[in-house]
Amino acid sequence: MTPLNRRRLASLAALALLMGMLGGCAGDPLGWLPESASPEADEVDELIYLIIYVTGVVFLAVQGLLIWFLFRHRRKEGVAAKHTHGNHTIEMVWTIAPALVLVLLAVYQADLWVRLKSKVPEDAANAVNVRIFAKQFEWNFRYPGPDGEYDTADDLATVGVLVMPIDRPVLAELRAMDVLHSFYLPNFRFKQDAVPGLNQEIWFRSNKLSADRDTVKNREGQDVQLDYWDIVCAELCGNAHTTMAGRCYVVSNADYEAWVAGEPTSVKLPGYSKIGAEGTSMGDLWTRWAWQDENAATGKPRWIKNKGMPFSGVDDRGDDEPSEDGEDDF
Amino acid sequence: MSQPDAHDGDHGHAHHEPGFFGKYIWSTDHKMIGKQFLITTLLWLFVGGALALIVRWQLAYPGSGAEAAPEMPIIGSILEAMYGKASITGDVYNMAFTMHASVMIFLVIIPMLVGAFGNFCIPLMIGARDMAFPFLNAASYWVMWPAFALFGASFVIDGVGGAPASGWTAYPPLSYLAGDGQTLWCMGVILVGSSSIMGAVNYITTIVTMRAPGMRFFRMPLTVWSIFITSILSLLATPVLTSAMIMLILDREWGASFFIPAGLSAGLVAGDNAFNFASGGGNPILYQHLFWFYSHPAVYIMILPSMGIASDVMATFARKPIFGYRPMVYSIAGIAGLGFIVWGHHMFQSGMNPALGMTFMLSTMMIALPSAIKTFNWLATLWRGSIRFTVPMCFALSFVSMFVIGGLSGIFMAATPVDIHIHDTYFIVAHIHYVLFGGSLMGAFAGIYYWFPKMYGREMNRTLGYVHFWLTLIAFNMTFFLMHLVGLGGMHRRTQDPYAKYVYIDGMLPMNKAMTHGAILLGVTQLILLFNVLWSMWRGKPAEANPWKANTLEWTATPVKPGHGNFGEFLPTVYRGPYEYSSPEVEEDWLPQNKDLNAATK
Repeated sequence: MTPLNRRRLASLAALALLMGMLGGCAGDPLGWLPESASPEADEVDELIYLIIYVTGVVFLAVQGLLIWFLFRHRRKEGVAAKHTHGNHTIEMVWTIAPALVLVLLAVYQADLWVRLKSKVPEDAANAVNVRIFAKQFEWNFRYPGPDGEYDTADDLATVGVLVMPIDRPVLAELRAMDVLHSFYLPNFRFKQDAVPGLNQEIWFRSNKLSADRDTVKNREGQDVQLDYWDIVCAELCGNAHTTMAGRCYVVSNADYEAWVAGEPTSVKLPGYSKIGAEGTSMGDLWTRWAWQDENAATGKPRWIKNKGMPFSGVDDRGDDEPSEDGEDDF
Repeated sequence: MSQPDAHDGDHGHAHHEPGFFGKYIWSTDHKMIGKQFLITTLLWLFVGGALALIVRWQLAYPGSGAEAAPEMPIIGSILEAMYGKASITGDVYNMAFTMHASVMIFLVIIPMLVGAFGNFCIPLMIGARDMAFPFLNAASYWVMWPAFALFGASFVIDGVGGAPASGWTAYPPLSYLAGDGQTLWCMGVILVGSSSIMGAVNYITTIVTMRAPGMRFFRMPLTVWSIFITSILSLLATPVLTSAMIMLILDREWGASFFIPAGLSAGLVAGDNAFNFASGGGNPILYQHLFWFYSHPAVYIMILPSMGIASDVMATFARKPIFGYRPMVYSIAGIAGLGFIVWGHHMFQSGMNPALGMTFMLSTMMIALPSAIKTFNWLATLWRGSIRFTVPMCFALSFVSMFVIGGLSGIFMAATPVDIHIHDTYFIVAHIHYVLFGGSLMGAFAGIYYWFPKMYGREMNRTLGYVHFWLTLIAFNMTFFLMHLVGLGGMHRRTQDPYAKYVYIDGMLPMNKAMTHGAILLGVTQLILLFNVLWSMWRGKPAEANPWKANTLEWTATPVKPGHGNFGEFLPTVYRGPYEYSSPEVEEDWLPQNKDLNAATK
């Protein structure tokens, strides 16, 4: 093989590799991302890789030129630097070209963003409803139960466990009761901050059973088989923020219906509790959800108490009514 | 700091010599104030760095999992003696990263770039005898000291649990619930902001009114341009941060409820320290808007001066005029202008209306454009230059190289759907460190090595400088490049022991260990810089007046160590732009701004 041929082969191979990378956008060719478990995650991954390739080309070009110039134009005896103040044409070129790329990138991303965050999915009628209540340091979930209505006796409640059927969207209401949290499903590429005082309607779905999850490597490099997708709190929420984890079980539709009905399921699933009377911690928690609604409707907070003002040292918790002589606290 | 030759410089004035206090403590001379800023911020750099090492140490040796305790070498045994446990508690960990970021941003990078270089360089480079308001200038330095005291006191006021631990962003309601240290922190930030505003007023006035004869705006060096525009940014953005801090203090101490909605309670189920929020009616997202309305421009406050410094250094050592001087100036202005309409990209997942995400995505994408233009112009400046690899040049070049990485990773965050995944992960941590360390600090290091001979009349040790450069570059990338990968892998930030709960993060522990080892090397390496600065101040080789053969006034119109008043009896007259290197008009490869060619030929 002549050297020329070899060079041509090499450039062809490089071109093929590049095409393969661009064509093979779907998936995670570099293996850097968590396993994808939803169709939306695949779309996000595609965009991540699009940007990796675009910025990768710019990165290589700029760093390559930099190093080449540093080598080529290092100080040499008798060679003077070129005296130039710039070039109008080339300035226009490297202003307009990146501007076009950047605007195109932005426009290209817009559609997915709108679909993920501003709209409900087309098959919303088929959706599962759930309420997510974040508090330090646990995720609380509430299902409307077999009757499909919230705030009835057959509502189901879990702590740190979300059970959802495959291929059906989950329409969730997301709230926080104390500080900011962030509901993050790494495998779904889904994230939304939970904000106190704000009831956010969010949705996500999965197309992969959590029992079929690939093995995950631990620190010793051993493969660990898990049967759930991780739920992460991604916003700093206090000193035990790191422990605020949850498990998302994606099961077949039949298993999901069986789980809700309290019947045996084909995979092992954690249980749930029925909403108890007010006064139990779980009942207390969901009562607070109702109060948030009431506050939003009337604008009058029912749950007013004082933090214990700096000069009084008063901490009058346990009083449901607004303090009549609130001035005392100042 | 007593040097026998400190006053050898020709004053041209009949100033009486100030005593020790007048010279070093109550000085209103812009050069002394600049040096005060520089030395103080250098010392704080080590406080901030030590806090970062606590964070990194914990992430490498979390004290959980299969490995036997004590996992933490050295520090582990100390911690065990103190707390009975070889790992750091959540409170200490949160305090460490909160104060690391606060110290680095508010007490190191902003005062170093704007306070130290702004003060030292502006009057010398534009040909003024001092700042427009010398007393205000001194005040802008001394108001930092109460801020230092407040930041320091915030560590100890309530024991460990009382130190600010809500992140440097101090989002309520968490910051509302925090211990008393948080209030001191807010007050400290207000004082630092006041210092910035005093400095900004001063710089703007000085640059607009006190330029030497012939120093037109478009003959100013890019360092001056960048600090000028940075000052406008500071002046417009800092008051918003100040008001956010005052509102947070009112919320915390007097239940004003700007940011606290009704109907919430904290720690109720947990029990003991349960209490309920004060009155209600506020909105936590309002705080985020106010905070980022300042803190996004603050990123540009922290990077623009470095861009200016790198431009000056690169032109000098490539012996070439800056390619596209005017586009460079317009890009700085463009970054500053766009910088005010991109704050929402910090809040894509915050609960802000998603429709706003579209607007902020477009504006954020567009702000990459002026940075790209600057990068291309830097490259073109190097093209067909005659490049001298001095220590400041090495740092300026690594500034460009690292800033490109930080800029490109910003595009990931600007893309809203991608940001859903990487928001609040280590990808963000990688990005900010490529911009603030790889960018701002590399630029600041370039500035220190470049102007040191003018500051102290002595040269810094070159060998130590190269060692510092190479170790910094290697350790920096070792530490922060891997963060991109663990971030894409979904490792979220601000967690003290994510391995315990998440197996997929547990697998990243070896990478985290590597990062920690890089961080330790990076921290130790900076001691070389500190030693070099302090040693060279007294023992460095005496410098020439213009050791780099640069064109700008601070080198060409002043003695080795300019005294009070900077220039001789007459101010220099400026005939041309700052970057006339390798000009065909003269034989040498440099042509000072104040050299009158006609006078020479007559």
